[in-house]
Amino acid sequence: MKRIGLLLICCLTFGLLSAQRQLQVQPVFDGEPLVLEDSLPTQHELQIESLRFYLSKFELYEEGVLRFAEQDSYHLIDLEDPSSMKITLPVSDSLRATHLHFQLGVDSLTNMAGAQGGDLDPMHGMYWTWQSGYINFKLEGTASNCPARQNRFMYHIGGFQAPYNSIKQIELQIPESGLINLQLAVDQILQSVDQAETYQIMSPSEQALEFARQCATAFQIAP
Amino acid sequence: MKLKGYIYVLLPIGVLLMAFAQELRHLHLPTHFPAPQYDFADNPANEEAFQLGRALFYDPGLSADNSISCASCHSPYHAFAHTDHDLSHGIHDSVGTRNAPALFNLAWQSSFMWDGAIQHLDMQALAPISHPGEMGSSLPKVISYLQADTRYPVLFEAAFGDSVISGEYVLKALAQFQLGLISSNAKYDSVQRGESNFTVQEQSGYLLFQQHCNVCHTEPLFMNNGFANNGLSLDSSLMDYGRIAISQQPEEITQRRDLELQTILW
Repeated sequence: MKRIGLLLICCLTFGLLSAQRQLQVQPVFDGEPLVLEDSLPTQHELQIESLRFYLSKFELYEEGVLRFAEQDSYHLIDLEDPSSMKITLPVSDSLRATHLHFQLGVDSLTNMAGAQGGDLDPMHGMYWTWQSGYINFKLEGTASNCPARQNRFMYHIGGFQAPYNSIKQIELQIPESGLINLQLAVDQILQSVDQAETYQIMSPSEQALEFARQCATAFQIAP
Repeated sequence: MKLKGYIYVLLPIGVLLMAFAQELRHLHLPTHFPAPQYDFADNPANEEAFQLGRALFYDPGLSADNSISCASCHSPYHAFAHTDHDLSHGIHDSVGTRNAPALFNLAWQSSFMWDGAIQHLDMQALAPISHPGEMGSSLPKVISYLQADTRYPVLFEAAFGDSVISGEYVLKALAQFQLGLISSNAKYDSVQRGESNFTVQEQSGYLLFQQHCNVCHTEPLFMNNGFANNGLSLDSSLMDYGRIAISQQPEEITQRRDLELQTILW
C-alpha cells in the first residue's frame, strides 16, 4: 500500500513537472532587449517610458490541427514587470506543435462584459474610463522630435467595434519543443509612425487601426 | 471509519447548500418589465454586495479631495439626479458639460451615459471617478483608500469572499447597489398590475401618449435604449455634439439618449 502510494506521488510530480511549455515575451529594440528609460540608438533621442499590452487566446497547432487552447487566456504583458512576460502553457511535453496562434488585444465579447478580475481588472489602467473598451496596446515615451508637451508620445490603441476593431490575430511558426521566444520589435513599430506628426492616439480610429497592424507584424519567434 | 466517510459526503453537500442559499436572495424584478439586459450570472445579487455598493455610493472619500461622492450628483432625494443645476459640478467647484442623469431601472439599459459611451453598467463608474472635473481620482487610488480604511476590507470579505480589494469588486459592488434602484410603483405600474384603473383624463392622456410618444418613450420602461435628436438647437456655449463623439456616425450628431419618463412628479 505504502509503495504504491509513493509510486503514485512520483508519477504525479513527474507528470506535473513535464506538463507545460514556456513562452517568453521579449520586447526588443534593434535586436537588443528593450529597457525602460534607456536612451535608444535612434536619430532623435528616444526613450520608452511604458510598454503594456494584452496577449490572449493562446492556441497551439500541429500542421493546421488545433492541439491546445488555453482557458481564460488573457495576459497583460508589462515591460515593468518581468514576471508578466513569462507565460506557462499547461501542455504535455509530448505535444508536438508547429504553430502558435494568439490575439493582440482583448476580444469584443469580453469588452462588452462586466467588470473582470486578474489581468483584465480595470485597476491596471488598461481600460478606458470615458468610454467602454480595453486598451489593447499602450506605448508611451519621449522623443526629441515630438512636439507634444514634454516631448511625450502616447499611443493607446483600442477599439473593439466596427469600423475600428483593432484586435489582431497573429500566427507564427514555432520550434516543436522547448522555450518559445516571442519577440516584439518595438523599433519596427516606432519607425512605422512619425513621432513629429502622429504622437497621440487615444481613441478608436483609422490611425489606431494602422498602428495595430504594425504591432501585429512586429511579433516574431526568435531561435 | 464509517463516521469519517459520512463527513466526506456531508461536508461538500453542506458547502453547496450554503452557496445556494446566498443565490436565493435575489432582486425582485417587476413582472410587467421585460427581461433585464444585465447578466446577473457574472454578478449575482446578494445583500452584502448591495450594502457595500451603497456605502461606496455615499462615500466622498472616493474623490480626490474627499468632497464628492456618487450621491453628490446622483442625489437620492431627487431620483438620483442632479436638480437645480443645468450642468453638474464636481471637485474644486468644477462645472461640467452635462447634467447627471437620474438612476433607476438600470438593469434594463443596454448602454449608459447620455451618448451611450459605456456598454456595461459595471464600467460606468470609471467615468465619473476618473474625470478631473467630477471626482478627479482613479480606480487604483480608490482601491488604496478602501484597503487602508478599517471598515471596508471586512465588507468586501462579506460581499465577495475576499478582503483584498480589486477593481473588479469595487465596480461590481457599485453596480449591485445601482441595480437595486428599481422604480415600478407609479400609477402606470399599478394599472399594469391590475391593481387600479386610470381616471378618464389619465386614460385619454395614455392614449395620446401611445400614439405620439411611445416610439421613443416605449412602455413599460418609457425608454427604447435608442438615441434621438429632439430638435433643440445646439447650445453655442457648450458645442456638445452628443453621440457623434462616440459612434462617429454623422447622422447621430446631437443625438442623445431617449430618457426614461418615470416618476417624473417627484
